[in-house]
Amino acid sequence: MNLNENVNVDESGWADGLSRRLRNLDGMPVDTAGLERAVAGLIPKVAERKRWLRVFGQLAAVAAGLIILVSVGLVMLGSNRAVMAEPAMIADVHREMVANSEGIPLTDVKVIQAEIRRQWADSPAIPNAGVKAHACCVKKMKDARMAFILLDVEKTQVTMAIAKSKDVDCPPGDVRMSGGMSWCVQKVGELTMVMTEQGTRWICLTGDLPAEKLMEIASKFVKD
Amino acid sequence: MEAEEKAARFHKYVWAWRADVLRAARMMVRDGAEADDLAQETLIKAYQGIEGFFPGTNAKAWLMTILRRTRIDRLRAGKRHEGISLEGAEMDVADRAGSEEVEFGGDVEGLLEQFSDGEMIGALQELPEEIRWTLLLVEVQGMSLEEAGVILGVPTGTVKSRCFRGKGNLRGVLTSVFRGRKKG
Repeated sequence: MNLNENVNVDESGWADGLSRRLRNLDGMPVDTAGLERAVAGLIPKVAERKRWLRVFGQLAAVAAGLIILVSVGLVMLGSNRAVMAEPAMIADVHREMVANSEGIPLTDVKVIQAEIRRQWADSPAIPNAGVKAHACCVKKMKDARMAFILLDVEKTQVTMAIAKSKDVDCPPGDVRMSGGMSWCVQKVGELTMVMTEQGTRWICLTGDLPAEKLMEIASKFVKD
Repeated sequence: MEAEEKAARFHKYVWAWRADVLRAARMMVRDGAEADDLAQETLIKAYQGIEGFFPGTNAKAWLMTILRRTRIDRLRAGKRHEGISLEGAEMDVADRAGSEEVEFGGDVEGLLEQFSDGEMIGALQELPEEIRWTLLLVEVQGMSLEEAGVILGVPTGTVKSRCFRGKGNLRGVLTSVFRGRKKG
């Protein structure tokens, strides 16, 4: 008896057997802890609600729900103080820096970091993935400060904007996941922007590149 | 809709299906990190689009629709193609086993139980994208042909024929696995 012979003898037996075996896969255990962690940071209440429900049960869940609602409200109030990143403004800065970069020699990011610190003493650390930079500047967007660095990444000019994550929020739009991180993707004309938060640092990469390429470049920086 | 209301709806109708989303993503995508990203992006899109979900309708089917669209978007974005073509649905691998005889004792159920879940998923991942989606929805998740047809955007008859072809293809792949195991 062999597999092929058996199919000829009992086609429906094979089909039914496969159906049953495949159906069993639906009960296969999966560890959702990583997924929960990743999503909880982006969607309010997930982690908190789960933990409270487990500890106190139904009655406490109502109280916990109220606490969470208040917390969410406080967080929202707090986040209202943050400035929404303005893609059009970031695009303008990028274009301006690119236009003025001709003839400016590339320099080490450490030098750029020192220059930014001179203008903005407690600026977030500039990630250094071994690339060179053309220029930098510090701009104010409402109450938030933002450092811009024009980088040379594989012969392409990409602007990295850095701010404190408490000061800047990503604007609503297309959210994508890559490398276990969430990225807000924006388009302004020919330019693409990918924005993310990494701890206390908010980072945005802008360039005339596909979002996937920018996310790939940015992921090297955020690991730094 | 307010953020709180969105979150409440998300937790009430969607959150319970997170394991199903992750499981489906891992069956569809060979690369574990890409599968996890796909599942996360699906849930975020579900949260963002929760206003488009109507309570009382099938939340799992709604999520699978988002998962599939997200998967197509990511494939089209071209980051991780894995050599898969969206147009590859009609590719036939049913004859992969060839005519070589493989001894297994004639017990189909017994034979299939010899394959681990990992091997079954690995075999599924050998199949063309659209065939894999069809088997995932109909055979693994137990959806009706009509429900799967809506998610896949094809007529019920196409779902049925893809199921038939898919199981034939899967048999071919499993035969190769079985044969490889015997040689090993």
